Amino acid sequence: MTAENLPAEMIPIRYLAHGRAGDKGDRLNISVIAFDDKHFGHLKAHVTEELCLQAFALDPPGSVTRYVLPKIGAMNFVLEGALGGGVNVNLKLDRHGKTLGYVLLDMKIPAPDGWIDRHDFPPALPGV
Amino acid sequence: MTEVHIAAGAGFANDRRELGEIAAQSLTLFQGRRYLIFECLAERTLALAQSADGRRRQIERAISYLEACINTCVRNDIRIISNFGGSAPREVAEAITGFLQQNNLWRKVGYVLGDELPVKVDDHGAGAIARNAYIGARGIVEALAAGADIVVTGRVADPSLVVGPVVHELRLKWSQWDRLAQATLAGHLIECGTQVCGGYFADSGNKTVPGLARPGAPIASISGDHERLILSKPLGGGILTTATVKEQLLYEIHDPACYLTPDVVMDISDVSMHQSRANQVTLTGCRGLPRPDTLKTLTCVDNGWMGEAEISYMGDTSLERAVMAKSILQERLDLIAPEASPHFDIIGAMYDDVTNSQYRPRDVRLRMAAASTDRQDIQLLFDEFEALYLNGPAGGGGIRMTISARTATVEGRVRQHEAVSRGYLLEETL
Repeated sequence: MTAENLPAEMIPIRYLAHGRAGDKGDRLNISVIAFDDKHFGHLKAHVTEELCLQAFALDPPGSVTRYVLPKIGAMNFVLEGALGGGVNVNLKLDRHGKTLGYVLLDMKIPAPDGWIDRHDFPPALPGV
Repeated sequence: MTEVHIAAGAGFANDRRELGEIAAQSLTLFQGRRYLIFECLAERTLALAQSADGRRRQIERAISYLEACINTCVRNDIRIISNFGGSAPREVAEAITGFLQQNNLWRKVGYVLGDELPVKVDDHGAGAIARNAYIGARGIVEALAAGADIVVTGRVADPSLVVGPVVHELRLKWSQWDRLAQATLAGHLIECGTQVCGGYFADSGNKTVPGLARPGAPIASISGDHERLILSKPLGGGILTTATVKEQLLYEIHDPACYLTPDVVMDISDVSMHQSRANQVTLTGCRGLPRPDTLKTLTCVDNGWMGEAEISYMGDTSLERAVMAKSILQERLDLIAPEASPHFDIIGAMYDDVTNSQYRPRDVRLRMAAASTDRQDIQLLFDEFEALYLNGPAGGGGIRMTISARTATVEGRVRQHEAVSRGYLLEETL
């Protein structure tokens, strides 16, 4: 078996992207932002609405919509009906769903071309 | 050309009071017109501020924020704008005046009204506590134009705390949509305080943030003659980078092309940014569309009680025993309280398929949460939960049970003219 035939190594989204969850009413949003713009196309291809639904399969939201912001290398996932009726009546431990960003960021996607070792990625944060 | 600099000294009701002083100190490093905002209203805050006790607490909160920074603000002619007026902006403004006079500080205090709406009992029954519209920045501009140094508001939209001073200082028209959107963007980015300065950002690995024990405050700078919005963090710990700004940019955003506020519809789908220097990010490309005809309203409704109970299990089989405890409780409740439908979480395995997992946590807590209009219903569930001590699986311990009053919020909309943002000056401060 040649190297080309090997299935791509799977890595968590968070090796390539960061993000934050926010709430409004019964709606949760999770941003997924490329650390490095060169990975944005790869992230866009693999971090889909379907993958987001898979991440929350144990407690599925009503719907998921993805918005793409190419100029900042980011995507915004909007999960309707994800907060048990809304922050003020939600019976779940984390009423705001603030912790849920990492449920998505832990999902695995194929490593991008040229991926060698997680310690080479992602590059240091810009501006630091 | 006029430059206006706005710093955020609080991002929620109980933020660190010292942040206001860090923000004020940071502002002294800038030339131009300088403002300090405190964003202190969460969705439920107005419901909590209806009682006499709640009104007293909101006054104490406003004064405690001012105590920490007022001397620096007075010395440097920094104006203050905050929604810490909560359910009674005029009452809080009067209390602030008293506090200032006691300290021999002579500042003009203004306030903004118009957000409070009559409670429509027919809509939500007798339980409706308060109904408020998210009003825009006009009242803030009126109060500033009347000469206010401190402007106290209730439920204005969070970014309007920044739109107000920008419109006032740059003499913007209410139809300059792109400029209003730019000011709204500035407000959106700083209204959560340190959340754009490395707060709520740190992670192991490459998301290291230095100095989180004393993070700095964000400052938004807008000038009259160009389209750039500059964000910076001159003092304190934390970091302000394109990465921290991007996370805050999308925070609590739905459709990036259509963020509704009372002042303008903001479109951030084409925003670009770059790191212009250390701890400084420059943004361009924010667009605005005409403001919506309607305003968002929030009705706070008394919604009975919520009870929460937890029990711990330790060891390699802790997850199995927590699942067992949950099954026992469910079987008991089917017999005793079939109408109760509590929610269960297994803390320590929240997003694991517990029936189908190789994961073996050594320390989990089973949590049960339930709501009811009748406190006795919650007590019944608590009694069943507590019985897990002697009657449940082996090795359960550390039970904690708490009951709290629950307020629901119901969203609605009113037409703009039904809730008009108006600014006033307290006569006694003239």
